Amino acid sequence: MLPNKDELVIRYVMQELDPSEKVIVEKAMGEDENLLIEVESLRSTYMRYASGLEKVNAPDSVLEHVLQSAEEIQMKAKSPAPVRYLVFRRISYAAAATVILSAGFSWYAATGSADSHTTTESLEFSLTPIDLQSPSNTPWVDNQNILHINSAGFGSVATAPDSIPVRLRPVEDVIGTSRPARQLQLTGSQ
Amino acid sequence: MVTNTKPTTSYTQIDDDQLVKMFRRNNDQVAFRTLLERHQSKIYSYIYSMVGNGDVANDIFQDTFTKVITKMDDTYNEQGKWIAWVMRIAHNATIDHLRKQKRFVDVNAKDDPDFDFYERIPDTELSAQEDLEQGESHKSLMKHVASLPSEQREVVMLRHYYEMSFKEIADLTGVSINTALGRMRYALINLRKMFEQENANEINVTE
Repeated sequence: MLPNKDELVIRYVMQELDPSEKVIVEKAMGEDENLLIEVESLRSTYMRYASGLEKVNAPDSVLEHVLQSAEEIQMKAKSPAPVRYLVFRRISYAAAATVILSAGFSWYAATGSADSHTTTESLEFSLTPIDLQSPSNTPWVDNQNILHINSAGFGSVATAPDSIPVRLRPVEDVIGTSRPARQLQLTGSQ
Repeated sequence: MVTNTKPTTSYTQIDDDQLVKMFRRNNDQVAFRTLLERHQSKIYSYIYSMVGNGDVANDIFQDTFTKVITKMDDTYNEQGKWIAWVMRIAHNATIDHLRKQKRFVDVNAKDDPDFDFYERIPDTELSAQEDLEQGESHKSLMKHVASLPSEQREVVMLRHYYEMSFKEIADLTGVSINTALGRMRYALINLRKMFEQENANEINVTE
């Protein structure tokens, strides 16, 4: 009895067996007449359709259409871009370059001046927290009676914590978005 | 208008890979025409035998080669065989069409569990290429093949026209080799029954 008989038989008919497998199938056919009949029946069916199914050529008009498409698509791919597109592309490159240069210059100016301030003023106000060192910012009170002392990292004696009245105390529930390192909030509530 | 790009003898001796390179890099239209003429019959025969309608086969054939031209720079890897890549595109386009067709016809065939849309294609559509000198036996054979379930027909045609091994057929259709072999076996058994029926009918007619 052949293992995987069905697969072996069809591969035998389709001539897709190794020589060793072919020998096994042929030996089995010699011993089993029913298998021989089955194989011959499948093979004659296969031969009948294989010899009868001819290749069909595509119509000439279809081939010409394909060739024309090939030529057009390739020409379109190789042709230079329209003038309007080129102008738009140049403008967009220029705009992108301007934005990048502006951003770079701003960043350089901000970090460069901050560095110079910190270097010189850190000697004078070495005990003052860097976040409270803003001479340009003045404390302000909002409509909920909260005192804000903003700083951008520059020192100021007026904003030192010692100058804040005693009745004020730090806000405990700091708003999530506020940054304690850059902003101090105080409240006057009892 | 297509320029005169008839392949010369020198082109017909160049292998596919070289022709593909010539077309891609130098826009060599003669190279493309050579490729098309070399392989058009097997691609067209497969599509035609699967859909059984000349007009539909023409459309799918054109769509296939439009995809081939437009996607050649993006998806074709020159390491692989160009014709295998084209055959895959043609196969996918054909199967897409058959699925769409089946979905469309299924709406009208809900109550028939054994329904195969192919059985409803009139004989006139199957013989749309009569002017191509197809004999009666060929037409009869095409009709029998068209009557096979689409999975079996697919394996038979991939094997016959594309000369694929069962491993390649299994890879292309997304089934195991044993399933592909099983489909081929059932296709042959079904065709044998059809041939026997046909022979019996002929005997009855002569009597």
